[in-house]
Amino acid sequence: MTEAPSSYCAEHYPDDPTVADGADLLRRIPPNHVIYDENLKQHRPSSQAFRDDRDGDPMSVYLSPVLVSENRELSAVLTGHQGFALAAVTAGLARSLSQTVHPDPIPEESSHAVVCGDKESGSRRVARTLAKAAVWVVRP
Amino acid sequence: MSEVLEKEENSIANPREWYTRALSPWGDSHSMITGCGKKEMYVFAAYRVRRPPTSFETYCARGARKVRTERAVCFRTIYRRRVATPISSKATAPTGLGYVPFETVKTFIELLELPHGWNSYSAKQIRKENVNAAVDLLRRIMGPGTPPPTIVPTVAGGVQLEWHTKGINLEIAIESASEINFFAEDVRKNEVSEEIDESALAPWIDRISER
Repeated sequence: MTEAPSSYCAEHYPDDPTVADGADLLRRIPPNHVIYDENLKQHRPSSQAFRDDRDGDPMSVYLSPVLVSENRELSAVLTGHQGFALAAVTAGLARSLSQTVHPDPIPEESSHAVVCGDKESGSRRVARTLAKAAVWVVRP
Repeated sequence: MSEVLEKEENSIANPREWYTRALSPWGDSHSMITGCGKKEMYVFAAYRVRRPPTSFETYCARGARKVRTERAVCFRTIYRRRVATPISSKATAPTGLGYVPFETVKTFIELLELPHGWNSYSAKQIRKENVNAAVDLLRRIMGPGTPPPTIVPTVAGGVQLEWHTKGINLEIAIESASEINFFAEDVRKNEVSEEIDESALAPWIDRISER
């Protein structure tokens, strides 16, 4: 059973149901967060790539449906970030881990959104689950 | 930086890790490290880091001497301590022998060069005390048969050590000397330990180590 998102997230970054569960949430992955998982026999993002920002903001992502609707390549969010890869997880997976998916357009990126919820303490599995489920959109 | 190098000096060298490297650059746009390696009965370690666009910074351990070439200032750090008895690369050893792979030390040093916001979001610079804590921890838990960890920076300025092998997922996140989080999982046995401490690490390290 999925736990409810925290009250902080529900208040400040409420989930937007118009973002479909199947929508891809894109996350930029720096080269030093790409690891080789011998158990899975593949490169994947480290769990550290799916932690909240340290400035107090929830984890930033980019909504693929927004990019598609604007006829932009998904890789557009890598502009200016040479060497970075791009990974996708679904909104539904994030929600199943007690996260909210909150569109948060910013001047430089209309597809910007945040994924809010505890990724550390009791639910440290969140970041690991996202990392293992991530699919490469732009490979490292 | 020198502290890290000096710790390497004190580590037990494994011939498997000894190598020589010509003074050719490698690394990313932020750093270039040249001429590091271990050779024969002596341990060599030298780091030359380029800070864009043109300046250079040299990191040397105690006892280092710098060498000039015809092209530029070059250097090598020579640890004069003799390794008395080379350890067989196939030797079986328990954990906790103080073995820290040379490549691991090199990665730590590269992480210390990361600028603020290195993850394109708001990640902090990696703090030296966290690297030192990681080196100390590895010295306590690793043996020659232990595979080197994958090392990733954390957004809080720490480092995470990871092993994903032999059906084991082991992650150690060091956010400060007093905040070290362990996670261990055996995917074959569906066994998870999330709140273990260092004292419980040994069995997990043994399971990922060669015997």
